[in-house]
Amino acid sequence: MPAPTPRRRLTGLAAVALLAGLGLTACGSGDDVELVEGVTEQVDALDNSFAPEEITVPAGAEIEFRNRGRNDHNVIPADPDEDWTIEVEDFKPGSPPTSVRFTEPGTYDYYCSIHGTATAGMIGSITVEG
Amino acid sequence: MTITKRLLAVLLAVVFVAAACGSDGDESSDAPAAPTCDQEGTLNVPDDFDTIQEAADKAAPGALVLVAEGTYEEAVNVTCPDITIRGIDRNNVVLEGGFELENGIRILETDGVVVENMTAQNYTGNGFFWTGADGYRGSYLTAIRNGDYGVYAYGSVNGVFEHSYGSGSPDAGIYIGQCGDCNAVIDDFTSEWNGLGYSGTNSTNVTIVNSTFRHNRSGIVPNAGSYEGCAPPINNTIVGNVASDNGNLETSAIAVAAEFPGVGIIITGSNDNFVARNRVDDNPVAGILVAPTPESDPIGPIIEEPDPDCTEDSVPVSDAEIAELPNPLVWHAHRNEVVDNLAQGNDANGGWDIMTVEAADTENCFSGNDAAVLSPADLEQVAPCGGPFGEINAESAALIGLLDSMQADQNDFETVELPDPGDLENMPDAATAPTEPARGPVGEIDIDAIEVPAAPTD
Repeated sequence: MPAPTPRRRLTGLAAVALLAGLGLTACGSGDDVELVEGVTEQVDALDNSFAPEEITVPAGAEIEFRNRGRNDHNVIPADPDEDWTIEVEDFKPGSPPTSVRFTEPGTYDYYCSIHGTATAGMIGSITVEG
Repeated sequence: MTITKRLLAVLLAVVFVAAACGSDGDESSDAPAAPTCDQEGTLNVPDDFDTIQEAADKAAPGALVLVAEGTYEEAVNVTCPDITIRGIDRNNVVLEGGFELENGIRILETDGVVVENMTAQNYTGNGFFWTGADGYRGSYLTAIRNGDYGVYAYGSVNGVFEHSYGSGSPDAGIYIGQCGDCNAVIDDFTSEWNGLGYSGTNSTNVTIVNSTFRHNRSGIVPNAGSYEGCAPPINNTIVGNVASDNGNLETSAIAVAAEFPGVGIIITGSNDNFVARNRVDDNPVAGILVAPTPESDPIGPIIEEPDPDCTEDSVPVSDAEIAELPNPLVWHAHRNEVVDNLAQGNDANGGWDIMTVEAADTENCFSGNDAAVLSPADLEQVAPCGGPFGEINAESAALIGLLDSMQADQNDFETVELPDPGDLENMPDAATAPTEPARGPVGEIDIDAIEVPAAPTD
């Protein structure tokens, strides 16, 4: 059996986020939404698509992005006002997965800018339920 | 678990938390206007539209986006179907990526789009890129120094690439892949100074004719892998091409190109291909090589036949199933027919004009080739087309040794010094030629009429 994939070393941005800790729920509506442990949804970047393209998760659940193709990819929010991104250099084929959590309900569309645009090609969508 | 450890576990589980402050995810701002695809006739750039992108977003089916001479620092995305984007002068309509933009022109899940008579250079990804298209054509295109492929069709069917040129890409100058029945033609394409001249992963029914693949790491390489959909590649036709003087270690190169240099035509992990009447000269490892593809870290098992309707990505099997797969996973080449090729001068470095390292039971056959150095030496006696097949004493160790001797730096595509192709042929009557949405190859190519090409003069 292969060894479990290690988690990515925390980036500066992640560290900032972590320093904010559970206080992150203060963003947006101000409603307290707790991080959900034990719920992890995986999204694989293949060579030309995300699989699955659409997922629904509870607010605060972990979503784990993995590049399981052989090409470079990135993960860019379709809404440029959103402030989460996975850059190419952090998402090489075979790299450790990168996890994100959304604490506010809503629909978060994203795409790979190399293989798509915000609305076509290599796109995906995360629905976060309250 | 202590509180400290629990806290640490929570923190480690949260690589970053996307609270999307300032947005609830449903809002949108600064988004580009949606394409309207409603303007017929000729849309001139820059007279009518400042950018190619603006015109491409307005063009109705059948419309022509006609681009005047100039340098366009754009990465154009095309989502209007059945349009033609044409440069008025192939050599002087230049899309410039500046090593910052990703793709010159990218056609996204949009059918029938034609791109012709222009140049794309210095993109970090691809020069011209069709993905998920049914019907495509690229004609009189020049792609130079792009970071992945020059001209690229992925998960697309019913296409033509013709009268075009690709150089300086670390993967391949031209690629067609992931299509269970590509129904594609490459005709009169020159691909040089790339990692591979042509790469086709899991591409079936691609016809490559009358083209030149030279000064790459290796030339023509249909190949297999579980990491892309539609495996394995079968039924490709490779006739009347020049695949000479590859083994150029000064190119940039990645992946297969870096691992398998020095071969004119490699039939690897690919079945039922017809390789005939090609001129295959002066490649330092082999002129034509029929060999298995060893795939490291596969994500799925060997598949015997592609789904002819396939254009979709390969979905990894479960982790438990992956753990049970052989690693490397070996895709053998079966029932390939290598006939009537002219292969010479490929032995100067200790290589072979025509070689197989597959066993007789793969039923690859070799007949009528004009080649002095075969491996095994009695290749055409033990594996003639029509059989019967005898024992093949493969020189695998010698091949691996020669390949090892040619391993070299991958080189940065941005800095490799490339040849100047000069002014390349323009399409006839670019200003006035009618448009026709791409529906795939037009008419039958008379394969039988294609002869071994003459030796290049340049």
